[in-house]
Amino acid sequence: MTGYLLRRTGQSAVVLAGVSVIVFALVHLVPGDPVRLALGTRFDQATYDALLARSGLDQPLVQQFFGWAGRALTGDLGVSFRSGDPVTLLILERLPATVTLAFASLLVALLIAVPLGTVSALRPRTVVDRAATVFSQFGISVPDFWMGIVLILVFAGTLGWLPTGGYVPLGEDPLGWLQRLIMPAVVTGVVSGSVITRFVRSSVLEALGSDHVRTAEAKGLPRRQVLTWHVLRNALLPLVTVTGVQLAYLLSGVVVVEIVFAWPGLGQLALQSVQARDYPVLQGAILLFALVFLVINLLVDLLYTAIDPRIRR
Amino acid sequence: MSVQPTPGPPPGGTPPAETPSETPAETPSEAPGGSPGPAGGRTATLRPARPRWRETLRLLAGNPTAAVAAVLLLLIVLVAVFDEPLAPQGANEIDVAGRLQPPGLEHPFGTDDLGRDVLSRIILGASVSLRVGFLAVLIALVVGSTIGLLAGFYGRWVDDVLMRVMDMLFAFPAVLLAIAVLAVRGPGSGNTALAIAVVYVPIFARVTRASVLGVREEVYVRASRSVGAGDLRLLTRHVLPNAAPPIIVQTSISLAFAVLAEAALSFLGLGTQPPNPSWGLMLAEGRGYIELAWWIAFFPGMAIFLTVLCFNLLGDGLRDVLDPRQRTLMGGGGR
Amino acid sequence: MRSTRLLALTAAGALAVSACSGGEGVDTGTGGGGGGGGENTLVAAVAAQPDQLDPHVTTAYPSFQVLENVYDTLVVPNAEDLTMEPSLAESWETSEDGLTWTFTLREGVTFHDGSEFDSADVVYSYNRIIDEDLSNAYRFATVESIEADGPQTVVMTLGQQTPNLLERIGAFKGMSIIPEGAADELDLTIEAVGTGPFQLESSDASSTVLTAYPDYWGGDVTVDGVEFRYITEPAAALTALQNGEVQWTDNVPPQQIQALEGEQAVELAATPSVDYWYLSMNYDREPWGNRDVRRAIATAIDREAVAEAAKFGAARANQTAIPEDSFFYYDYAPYQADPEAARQLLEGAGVQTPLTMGLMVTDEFPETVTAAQVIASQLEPIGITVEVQNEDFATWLSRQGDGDFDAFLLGWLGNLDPAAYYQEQHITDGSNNYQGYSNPEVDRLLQEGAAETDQDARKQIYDQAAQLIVDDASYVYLYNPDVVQAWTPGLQGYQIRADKAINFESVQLP
Repeated sequence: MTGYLLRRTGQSAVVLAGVSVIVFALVHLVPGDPVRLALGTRFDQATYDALLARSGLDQPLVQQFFGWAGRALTGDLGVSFRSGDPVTLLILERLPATVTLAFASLLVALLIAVPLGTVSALRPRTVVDRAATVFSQFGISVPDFWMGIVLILVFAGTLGWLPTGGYVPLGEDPLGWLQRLIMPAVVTGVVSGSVITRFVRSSVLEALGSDHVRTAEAKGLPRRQVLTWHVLRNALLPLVTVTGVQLAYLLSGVVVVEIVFAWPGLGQLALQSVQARDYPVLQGAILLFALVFLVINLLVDLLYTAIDPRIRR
Repeated sequence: MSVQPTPGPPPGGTPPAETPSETPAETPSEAPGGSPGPAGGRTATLRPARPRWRETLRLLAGNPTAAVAAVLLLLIVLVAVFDEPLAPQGANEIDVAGRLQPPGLEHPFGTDDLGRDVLSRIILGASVSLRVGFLAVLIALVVGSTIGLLAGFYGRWVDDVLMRVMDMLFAFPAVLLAIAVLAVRGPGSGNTALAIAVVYVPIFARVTRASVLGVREEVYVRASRSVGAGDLRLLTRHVLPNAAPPIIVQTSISLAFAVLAEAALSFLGLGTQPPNPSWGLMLAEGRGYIELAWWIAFFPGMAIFLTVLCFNLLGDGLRDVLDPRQRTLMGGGGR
Repeated sequence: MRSTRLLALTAAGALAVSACSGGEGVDTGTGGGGGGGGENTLVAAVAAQPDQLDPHVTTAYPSFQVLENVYDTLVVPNAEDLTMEPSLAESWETSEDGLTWTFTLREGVTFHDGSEFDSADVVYSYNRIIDEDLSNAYRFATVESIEADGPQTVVMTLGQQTPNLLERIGAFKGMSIIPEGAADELDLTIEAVGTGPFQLESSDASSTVLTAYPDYWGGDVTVDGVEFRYITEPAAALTALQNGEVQWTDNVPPQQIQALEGEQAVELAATPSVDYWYLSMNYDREPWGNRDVRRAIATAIDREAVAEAAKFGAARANQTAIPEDSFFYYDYAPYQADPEAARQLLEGAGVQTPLTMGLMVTDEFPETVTAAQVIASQLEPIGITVEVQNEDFATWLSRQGDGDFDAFLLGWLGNLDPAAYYQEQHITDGSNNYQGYSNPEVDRLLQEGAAETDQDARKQIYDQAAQLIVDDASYVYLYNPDVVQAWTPGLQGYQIRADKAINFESVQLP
């Protein structure tokens, strides 16, 4: 187990190092000069040179990379060109909104997917099953931004029940927090939920057909007991995986939905920093996303191994 | 740091592709077969020889949903191919005085903020959206499958190096990766296709690799090898055709997500550029008018939704027919 | 929970004030009086987050929306006609030769940290802009020295006559006065210590919050605070206003203006702005260097249709830069939208049609994208195929700077003085003359105008310059947009301004 753990962690570290090189290269390949952008249209050459030197962009690229990567290892992601704030601070500022939306969406997704997927697997080819299929096809095919716009039109515009967007911290205004959370969470939740629904359905189906469930049934155990003890438990394992992967996806900023609902999350930050050529922020954000993705995958993987010893080699 | 090579051929029948060491970089939404389900131990039976096309079509026709989707898709593709004669107006016939007209006899889908006919723009936009989608998937398919084929067939360090690079691409958030590629290359249809392709390359690489691992040790491949067939011949004559079904299914599903991704990127202003009609761009343009003129954003949204739905339904149908073990990674990477 | 937190903050604030004002009676009453929650706080929906809060460094309008309420300048444009009037400077005198300007500063002004405002702060602020080559350094181009003469007097010595000096130091809050040493003691990108009616409370990814400064020199501030909430989508901002979530917004979708005019739930205000939008062509790329080709384009464009499409009527077509309401407005409109005449001009220019023109626009200013599509449809009939190139602003600026364009659309915002409208854009090798225009007669007039102190004579000079610029189509001027803002009915004491400065110091909630 320890060897396996070390090996997997090592792999993730290599991938992360590769990601950081790619991020840096990609970001610096982007045309457009952040210094010019910061200065706007009216300035002179001396102003330009002064700012270029202040932001360290006059140094060779390789030197810039090692400087950045070295500091990143110590948790210092540099300073934003645009605002002058430390990147870690900017990210921390956005983190609550992103985490809130990610978990709320996941909650919506699971609340829809687990019952719907399970029932549709237990009663294949019934109305519930059809409904589950229709729902999941709808969810994976609908453009999320379009759904968001339509929801805003109906619930904020016509009905006036909910605010159009924005975010307030839970501690400041719990009701306002909830009101603003509902629509974006539903949009991303429906998309994630439709993916998970299909997953749950097929996992349960698979579990139903597995040898030990058939054995249990053959032994004449009550159906309810078979379901809870054998089928659902077996289906839980794959569910953990897909949930983890969905969480990683949700945490890495659902850019488009954040834009539609003016949700000040990390995706919005990343998009803004692309537009502003704010290299340090963009690098920091992508690196963080990759880290979250790798860590969650690693955890899911290890959890899997812990639960199901057949996997360990 | 030495990276543990991916294990060789499985002793007991579980193909390595289905072991959890692969999960770290699964797609955000993978099909159940991609990870070790409880049924993991019963997979490596002899596959049937490659399914015939006619057989596939016959089976597909027996699935009414998939058949309807296929017919609808054919219609959409025909509209995209014969766009100009079908459109009542040009894409950029501006008429500021006749702007924001609701759907009616003259303009079945109304007019937009510059007085352009929405129906015409949807018809003309079909080719833009589909072309970007097809091109993106084609690039991803060719590049990704080649990588997956090499990695799966040769294993060892080839596999290791290629798949670690794929892992790196995979660890990027999909939308941001596409945005970054577009920022580097500049906006526009061709670059949008490239950006989406970059996101899908690792997915095709994985699906192909998993599929190749599954057939690599099949009897007929070993038999061919034992009679001295060369690598190239083995790959093209035996491995690829037998590994193809999951790749085909993946292609259909990826098309759905590529169309969606094109729409999303154009919506963000990074994809297809005005005045070209692309569904996502039309939706973005109509967004500001949603209360005043719902039709500008609504109809392009429907067009995207229907097209994506058809690709997904067809993909599901194909999966049932071609890949009953459901090894394909479902989409979701593009969202 | 909420009230506890508020009380704690008030207490901390009171401590800070008492520490600074040397034991003077601190009226915690006023500060605590607002404890009833956000009752008397104005919530304003703005389109974007400030990029940063250092007034000398930022160039972004969203930053200035906030900073307008936090900092002051020596002089400030009057809300009515934008002429310069006293602010931190109570009065000023100009020497006979026009080269020495003496400003007398207002007494009894304190910064938000409690410290006194005096001449050292002015000298420090201006020298910071000059010495660090910050983006507004060019505004001091004719200034040789800035010195304090006692605590209430600042003397500026100029190298040449500068009739628009007041506009240069007061047009906007980029020329704010910060406390001496502030740039070293504070992180001005996130902290703000000004002399204005409001002090910065907090700024994060969803809003910036200001609270009234009780010791403001301009008298009592009527609200307890202002929250600037960022709502990017105009439609969403409007809905928020209609729902009562916000009480004020300048993010009004132009297409909704007509519908809003009759609506009870929203009060709409519009006034012509000092901004202008234009098309510029690259003289170094043939055939755009050809005067007749440019004139053909200026003739082919129907400015009314462009303005109508881009702003839904909330704009006035104009063939020069300066808007109608300005003293310097020059009624000159030689071009008639006429495709036939345009085609003949193009023929006379001896160029082969069809021509292809890359027209660079940016999503940063969506009206350029709309206008470009209309212009494309207007140039098509005369044999010019327009390829709309939508770049994000960073790339756009780089391409502009590198001269890598056929033509572009953009606007100049917040101009007050005619020199700001014409000088650097059209003088040979001017810092904003990206098109490469050069006309010795225009150069002479612009230099003359910059130093002329008599207003009427000055206007005549700029009229002549404008005529040449328009005739040569150095810029093809399109329109002056309106400032459009909306607020909740019953909101009092707020005045919409042509320069788009947003000042909430005397606003009263209904």
